[in-house]
Amino acid sequence: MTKSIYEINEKIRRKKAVVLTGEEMVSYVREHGVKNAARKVDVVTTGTFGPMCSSGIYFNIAKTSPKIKLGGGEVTLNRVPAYAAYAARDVFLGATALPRYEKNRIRPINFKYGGAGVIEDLIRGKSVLLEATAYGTDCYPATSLRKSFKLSDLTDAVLFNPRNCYQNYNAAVNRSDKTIYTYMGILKPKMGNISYSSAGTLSPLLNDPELKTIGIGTRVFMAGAEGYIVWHGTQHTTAVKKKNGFPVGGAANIALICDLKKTSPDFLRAAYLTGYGVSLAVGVGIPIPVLDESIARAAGKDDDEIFAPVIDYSQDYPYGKEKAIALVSYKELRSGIVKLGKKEIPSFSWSSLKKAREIAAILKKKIRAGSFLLGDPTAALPGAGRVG
Amino acid sequence: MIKKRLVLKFSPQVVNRPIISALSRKCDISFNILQATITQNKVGRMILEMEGSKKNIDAACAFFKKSGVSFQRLGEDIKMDEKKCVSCGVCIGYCPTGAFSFDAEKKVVFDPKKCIACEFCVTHCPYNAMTLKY
Ligand code: SF4
Ligand code: SF4
Repeated sequence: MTKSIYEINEKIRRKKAVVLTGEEMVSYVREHGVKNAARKVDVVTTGTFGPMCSSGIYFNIAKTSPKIKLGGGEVTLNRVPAYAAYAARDVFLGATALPRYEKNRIRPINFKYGGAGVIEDLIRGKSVLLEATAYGTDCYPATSLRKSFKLSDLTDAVLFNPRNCYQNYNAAVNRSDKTIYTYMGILKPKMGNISYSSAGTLSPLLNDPELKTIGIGTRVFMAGAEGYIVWHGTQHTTAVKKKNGFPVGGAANIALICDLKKTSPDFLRAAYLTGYGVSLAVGVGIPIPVLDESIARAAGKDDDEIFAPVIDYSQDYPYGKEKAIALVSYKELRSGIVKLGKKEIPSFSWSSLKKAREIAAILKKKIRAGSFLLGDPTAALPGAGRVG
Repeated sequence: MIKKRLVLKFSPQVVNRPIISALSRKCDISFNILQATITQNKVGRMILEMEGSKKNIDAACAFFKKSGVSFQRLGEDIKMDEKKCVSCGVCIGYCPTGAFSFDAEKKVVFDPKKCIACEFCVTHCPYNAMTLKY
């Protein structure tokens, strides 16, 4: 038996849709079986909240007189360099951009500000100083600009992720003799700790592992706003090793977009990673329509069925020689202690389960209230499977 | 008058010396020993609450330094800003004394009683949710 997104949307409109969060779906499937779940449940909501460096914003500044052509010039925002190689008034700011003074501090650098900090300042309503130099043309004579602005002063401001929602991810350890500072955190020598970054059973793309329902045009919860999947993410792939039908490691991911003005600091936060850099934590939730039994089965899996590869970040990762030391389940990672051979290693997470739950709950509420309809994808992601 | 709680560390070289009795003779402060232990490798660890004028407490600290006793403030001065904390749990992996844990709702809770004010979380919480209040 299969359903269509159209049919489910009709039920959502009539406020008749059966919606469960990813965690509730686990118990439902355990109790009633996959067949019943596929028949009864219409939508499973997911959520994730963790740092994603592949994030940025773009916006268009207000007209000035004399006019200035930022394109080809140089722009900083609160001294953080932004990208200005589009048209006259377009600016792109990446989350990981750093002001020069940050890079000159003693190592490991304890980062205090950067692109993500500017983004957070903007959504908190603070004013940001734009400083620009340009070469000046006949139609855009100004050669410099210094101006403070707030998010509300901009006509358009857009949050964009070239890549987000990795289907699954590595668990990181350090096999060397000294502490290392990575994007997976501070890793103690001789495998003294292990870090991971996934919402596990709530992770959006793990609830539709074959990408049967998620595609270009899927409407999502993004940092408190409504956003959309606009493309597959950079580094997207479906040709990966699987266990229990779920990819082990990176795999699929998506490019996301939304209106920055509608985002909330509750779900969009600058993250400062000692010795590594500045990143942006973006809360994302994707509703998964339960179109067939295989989706019900995937959405009903528990943390003990999904596995992360344990990767060494001291030698293997930096030199592109990633080789899984072992596979560990998210159940084990979440328990706080991972057993590798005879060693018991304390684990910690970059992904907030509390926030992920909040997001899945918000989405559920909105869908049940009929105020969030599912986006019917206009095109599939590369390597996507088919319903039925 | 100020109050200060310190965690003192006595290395094996100084652990047998009568430092605390010297402290009571030399510095005009009142103090309370909240906890004292000696580990297997002969390192002494004491949690000391001192009360007195700022000048005298500074003098006591200088005395510890001179006597080869290392010290740091106890975690009462370490605060979690609930609005900034996202409950990621990174600090659980960083804190040497297990002062952080998940509650049933997966919210990260901070137990100041376990904190020894090493300030690791203050420096390394990615969301700047931990602060040291002087
Ligand atoms: S690392 Fe910081 S934000 Fe994360 S749980 Fe600990 S205090 Fe909260
Ligand atoms: S200051 Fe040190 S001991 Fe106290 S909570 Fe932070 S990391 Fe733990």
